[in-house]
Amino acid sequence: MTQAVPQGKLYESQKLALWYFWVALALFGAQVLFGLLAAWQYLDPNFLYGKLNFVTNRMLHINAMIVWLLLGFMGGVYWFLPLELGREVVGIRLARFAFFTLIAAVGIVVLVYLLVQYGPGNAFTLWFITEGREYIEAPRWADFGIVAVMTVFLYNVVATALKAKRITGVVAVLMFDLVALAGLYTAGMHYTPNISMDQYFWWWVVHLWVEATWEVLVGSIMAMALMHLLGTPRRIVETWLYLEVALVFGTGILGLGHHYFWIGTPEYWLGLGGFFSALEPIPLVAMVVHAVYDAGVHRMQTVNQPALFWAIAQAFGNFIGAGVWGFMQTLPQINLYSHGTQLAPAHGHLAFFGAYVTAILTVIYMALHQVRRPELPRFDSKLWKWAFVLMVVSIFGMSAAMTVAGFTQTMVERAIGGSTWQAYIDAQQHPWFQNGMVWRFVFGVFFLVSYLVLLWDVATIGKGEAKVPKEVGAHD
Amino acid sequence: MTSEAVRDLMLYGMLMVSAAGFYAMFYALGRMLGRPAVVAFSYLFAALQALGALGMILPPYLDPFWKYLIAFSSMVYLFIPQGMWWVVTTFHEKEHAH
Repeated sequence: MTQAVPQGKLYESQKLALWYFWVALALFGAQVLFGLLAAWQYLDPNFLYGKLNFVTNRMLHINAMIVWLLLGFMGGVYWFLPLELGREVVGIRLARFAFFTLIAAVGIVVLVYLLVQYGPGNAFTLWFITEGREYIEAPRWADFGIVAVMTVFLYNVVATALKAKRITGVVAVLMFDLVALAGLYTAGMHYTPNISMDQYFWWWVVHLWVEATWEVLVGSIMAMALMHLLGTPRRIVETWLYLEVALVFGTGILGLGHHYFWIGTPEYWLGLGGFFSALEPIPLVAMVVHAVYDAGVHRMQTVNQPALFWAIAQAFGNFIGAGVWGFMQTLPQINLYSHGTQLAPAHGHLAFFGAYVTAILTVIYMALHQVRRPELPRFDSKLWKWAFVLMVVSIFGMSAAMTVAGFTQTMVERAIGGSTWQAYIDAQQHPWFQNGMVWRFVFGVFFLVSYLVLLWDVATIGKGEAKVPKEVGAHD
Repeated sequence: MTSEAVRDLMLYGMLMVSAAGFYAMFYALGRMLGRPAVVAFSYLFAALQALGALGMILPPYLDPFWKYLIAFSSMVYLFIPQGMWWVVTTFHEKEHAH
């Protein structure tokens, strides 16, 4: 039995989604701010030394990113799920409880990071301060919290589908993906003093959790978004989604091997990881064709221009960030020299922005349209264009600057200098590296400005006087 | 491996994949707009993509396994735009026919 809400009203699940979006946007700001502080500390290492150290800023920068993207995805699912299944989400109270629990936990973890920062390398520190493991620094109690919240999320999706007696292709993919999302994170809790084994499972979280389960999750959300934004038929959207899942399994999972090249794992990972990683850009190139087709068919017109532009940016951003910047350093012969240089964050910044940030912004603009002015024939503003262009230019600027710096490290420190301590210092003092760091900061400031413009637009778009209806050429 | 080899492999790798992307973009754009000149322009990037692959294959930097792998990728990139265009338009035509 369906529970359709009256025209102009929202499901409770959609109201909850809006909370997710606002907190996500706030944490996006925190990510940018702490990233900028860390970027400045590259130029002036004494800045805030002893008060807010580089490692803390970097940790907050990365962890804020992981949490806000996760919140954005969850908000996206809570927004589209009732539309997809035609009924309210089951366990909405539980969902609200999970939301507030997650927010409280994030708040406590951030305060501990800021005020306590680190502790002795014992079990107490690991459980209550930080695990001290790059990218997954969250203390163990927070790890369990994340798994618990994801399990509640999974329950809500499965129970809603069962109650609605309707499991669409998108929802089926989503359910299987959420099992992996909750399960794979536990790999990060496997601690062993053997550094190779520790790194082996650590990459399961950093690569398989973030790059595989997130890719499928964002694929499911974009599938639902495209059906509502462009009226793309379900059959096409679901076929592409199945194809994407196949490609993630086909190249993405064993592509994990490119992180196993130099951590003491068996030699066969060189061949396995290199082979599947080299093939990873192929489906991304194919997606470029489809993005051009979709944009062309709709002549870049739809009722929601900002959502359309962010959706198109998602297809191209994924290709450039993950495909081009990934391939540049994925062959083991190159990776031996480039791994851990500024080339890695150059790839990371472009790939995360291209694949995930753009997708969440697409959904947020779609939600805002529905909430603010569903009757408007064109949901538009002048500001979003500024935010879009500034943000895209500044992320490319930052990544280009880091690419130059990383290239210098690869050449000067590794290939020429042979990874000695002196070679490390030579690379750090090289003008190309230092200028790269300066330009990274400058574009970081531009990014902060673009974030503020985006935030202002999100807060104001669709408000004010009704606009004169215009002819639109796309399906709503 | 020498520093020159690392540099060459990185730059040719970047050229190969980015040119493949531009090839796909301009090819699809040309077909979408019905402009053969844009399609023809896209072949310039196809050539650049192949050039990037050759830059990695011809020098003696890599073992045969990796050379075959890059040659295979390069061949696939050459046909992705046409293949994908066919897939996309066929999908959508079938949908409109229903």
